[in-house]
Amino acid sequence: MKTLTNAPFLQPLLIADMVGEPGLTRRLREMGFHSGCEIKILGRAPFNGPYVVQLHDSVLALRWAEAECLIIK
Amino acid sequence: MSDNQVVDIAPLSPTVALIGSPNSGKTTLFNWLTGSNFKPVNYAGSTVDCFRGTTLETYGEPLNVIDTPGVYSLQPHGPDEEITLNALTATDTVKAVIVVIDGTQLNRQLYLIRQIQELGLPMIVAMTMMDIVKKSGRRLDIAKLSELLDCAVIPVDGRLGGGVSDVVAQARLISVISSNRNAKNIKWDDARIEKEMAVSESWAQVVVFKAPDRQTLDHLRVWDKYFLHPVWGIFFFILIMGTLFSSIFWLAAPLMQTVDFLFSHLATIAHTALGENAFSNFVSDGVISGMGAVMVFVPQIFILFIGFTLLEDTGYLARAATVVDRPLHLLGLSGRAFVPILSGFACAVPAVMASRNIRSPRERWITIFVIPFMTCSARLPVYALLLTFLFYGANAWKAGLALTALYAGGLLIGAIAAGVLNRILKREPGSHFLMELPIYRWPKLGFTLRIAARRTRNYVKNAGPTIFTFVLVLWIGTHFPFHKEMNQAEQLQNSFIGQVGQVIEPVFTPMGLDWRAGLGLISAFVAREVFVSSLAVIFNLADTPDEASLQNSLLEKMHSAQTSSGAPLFTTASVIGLILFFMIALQCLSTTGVTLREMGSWKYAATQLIVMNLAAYLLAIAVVQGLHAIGVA
Repeated sequence: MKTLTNAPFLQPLLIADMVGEPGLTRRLREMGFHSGCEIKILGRAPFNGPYVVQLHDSVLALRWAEAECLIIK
Repeated sequence: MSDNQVVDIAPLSPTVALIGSPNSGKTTLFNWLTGSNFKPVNYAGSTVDCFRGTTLETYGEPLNVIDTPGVYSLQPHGPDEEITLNALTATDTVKAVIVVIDGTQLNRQLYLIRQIQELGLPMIVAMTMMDIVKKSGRRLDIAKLSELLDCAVIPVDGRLGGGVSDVVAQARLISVISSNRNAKNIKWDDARIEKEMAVSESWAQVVVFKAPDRQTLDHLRVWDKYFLHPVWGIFFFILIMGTLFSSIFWLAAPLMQTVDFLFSHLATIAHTALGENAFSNFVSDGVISGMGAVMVFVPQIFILFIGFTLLEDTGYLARAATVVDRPLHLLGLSGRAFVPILSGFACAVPAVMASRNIRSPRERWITIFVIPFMTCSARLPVYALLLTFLFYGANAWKAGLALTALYAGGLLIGAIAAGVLNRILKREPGSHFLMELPIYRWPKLGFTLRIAARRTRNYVKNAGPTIFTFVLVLWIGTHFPFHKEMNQAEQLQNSFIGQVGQVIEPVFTPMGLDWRAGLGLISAFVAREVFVSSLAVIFNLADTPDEASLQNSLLEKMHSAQTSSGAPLFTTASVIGLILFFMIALQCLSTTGVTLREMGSWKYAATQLIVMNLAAYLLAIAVVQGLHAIGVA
C-alpha cells in the first residue's frame, strides 16, 4: 500500500483513500483532501519535519502520522 | 497577544456572527465593522475567544457583531472550535451569520457554507482577498455564486473597506428572518463530508475563471523555497528571530534614554515646585520615579509588539511553526505550541489563552506549563536593571550579550521542563500537526504600528495602576510611623514595612539578600516589573543629585546598599541569584489565574505555581551558596 510517506516529491499524485484514526481522517477531509483529488508534495520542513503539500490553491503542512493516512493511487 | 476587550453590546439590536476559516480575513472585516481595531491574524487559530462589538455609526442602525475563532467545519475537533459552534447553537442570541470566504480558496471554503445551510441559520457571504484574486489574473462570477448559494455574496476590500456598508445592510435584512436552527443536523459521516466537499468544489469550478497562463497561486508562495528549505529554513528562522530579539535592544536604546531623561526632569520639576516637604518627596521620588523606572522599558515592549504583528501579518508565523514542529515534537509538543510560546515572550496571560488551538490536552498542559519560563516583557525591566548593575561601566554589548543569553536560558529551561513532563505524563494518542500555510502578504505598516501602539497602551494601562498602588503602599509603609530624630536608614528600619521585613528576613538570607531586597521580590508577585519600582521606593531615590538619570541613581544606591552586618547587599553572587530566581519563578498571579481558567482545575494551576517557585528558590540558593563557596562575593 503506497502512502504519502513513500510517494515521490514534486509530482502530481492522486489520493485513493484515507485510512486511520476517525478524527484525523475527518479533519483531513474537512481540510479538502478526498479520494480522487490531486496533490503534490512540495518538500519537507527542516529537521525532517512536516510534509509540505499542495492541494488545489492551498499549501498545508502535515506530519508523518497524517501523511500515512493518505493512500496514493 | 490579543486585546482582551469586550465592547458593550447594544441591547435592542440583533446580533450576527462572523464565521470563517483561519486566515479568511474575518478579523479584518470585524475591524472594519466595529472600528475596534482588533488585529487581523495570518496564522491558524489566533482568535481564541469570541469578541463582540457593535457596528460603527457610519453604517446606520447598530448591529451587534460577534467574531468567532476560525473553523474549517462546524463539527468541532478542539476547544477553540467548540466556542464557535456554541456561539451559534447554545442560545438563540445569534440571529444570522456572515460567512467570510477567502476568494482564492473557494473550493475548500464553500464547504463551511454547506454546513451553515444545514444548520438552518440565515446567512450572507463576504468575499475577501479580492485584490489577490484580481492580481492573479482571476475572475469570480459573484452573481452566479449568489444564485447557487441562494444568498447575498458581497466582495469586501480588506485594505480600503469597500463593500463593508453593503455587508451591514444585507446582514440587517437577514437578521430579522426567523430561523429554526438544529445543531443535530450537522453530524456528518465521512461519506457525507466527501459528498459535500465535492459539491463545493463543483461550485467553485463554475464560479472561478482562471487566466490560461496562470493556473496556480505558486507565485504568492515563492519564499517557501527558502523559508521551508531544510538548511536555509533553519538559517532564516534563526536570522528572523535573532533580528527581532536583538532589535529590542539596539533599536530601543535612544528611545529609552529619552524616556529616562523626561521622567528624571519631571521629578526634579515636581520637587522644585512643591518645595521641601513629605508630599513633595512622595510625588517626585515615589510616584514619578517609581513610574519612570518601569516606563523606561515601554519602547522595548513596543518594538517587541511590532515584531510579533509583522510576523503574523506577513504569513511567516505559520512557516516558523512548521520549521520547529519536529524539534518541539521531541519535547512532547507540536508546531502549534510555537505561537503560544512565542507570545510568552510578550506576556504569559494571552499566551496561555492562545494555547487553545492545541487539540491534545496533554500537549496543551505541557505548553501552558512551560510558557511562563519564556522571558516576558515584565521581566525585561528587572533583567535590564540587574544586568546593568553586573556590567556597570563595561561595554554595552556585554550586557546585551548577557540579555540574549537570558532569553536563550529561559527557552532552555522551558525545553528541559517540557522534556521532563513528556517523560512523566502518561502518553496518549492524538498528537497532530496539520496547518495551513497562508500566502505571503506585505504588511500594512500603518496598521502594524497602530496595533503595536494599542498593545503597548494596554500594557501600560494594565501595569500603571498596579505600580502606582504599590508605590503608594510602600512609600507610606516605609515613611510611617515617622521618627523625626532618625536618619534615613534608621527610619526605614523602624517603619511598618521595616518591622515586617525583618521578621521574614531569614527566608531571603540564604539567597544572599536582606529584607529590603526580599520585599522587592515579594512585591514582584503582583507583577514582576513592580520589583524595579519597589527598589526605587525602598532605596529612596529622592536625595540623589537632580541631574543624574533615574537608572543611574538607582544603580548607585544598589552599589552602596549594605546588609545589617555592613557587608555589601548587591554582590555579583546575590544578583546572579536574583536573576536566576526571576528566570524560573512564576511571579505572576494573573498567569496562575488564567491557567486555572484554561485548565479548569486548581490541580494544574497549583502544581505550576508551587513547582516553579520552589525550584526557583532552591536553585537560587544553590547558586548563591555555590558562588560564595568558590569565592565569588
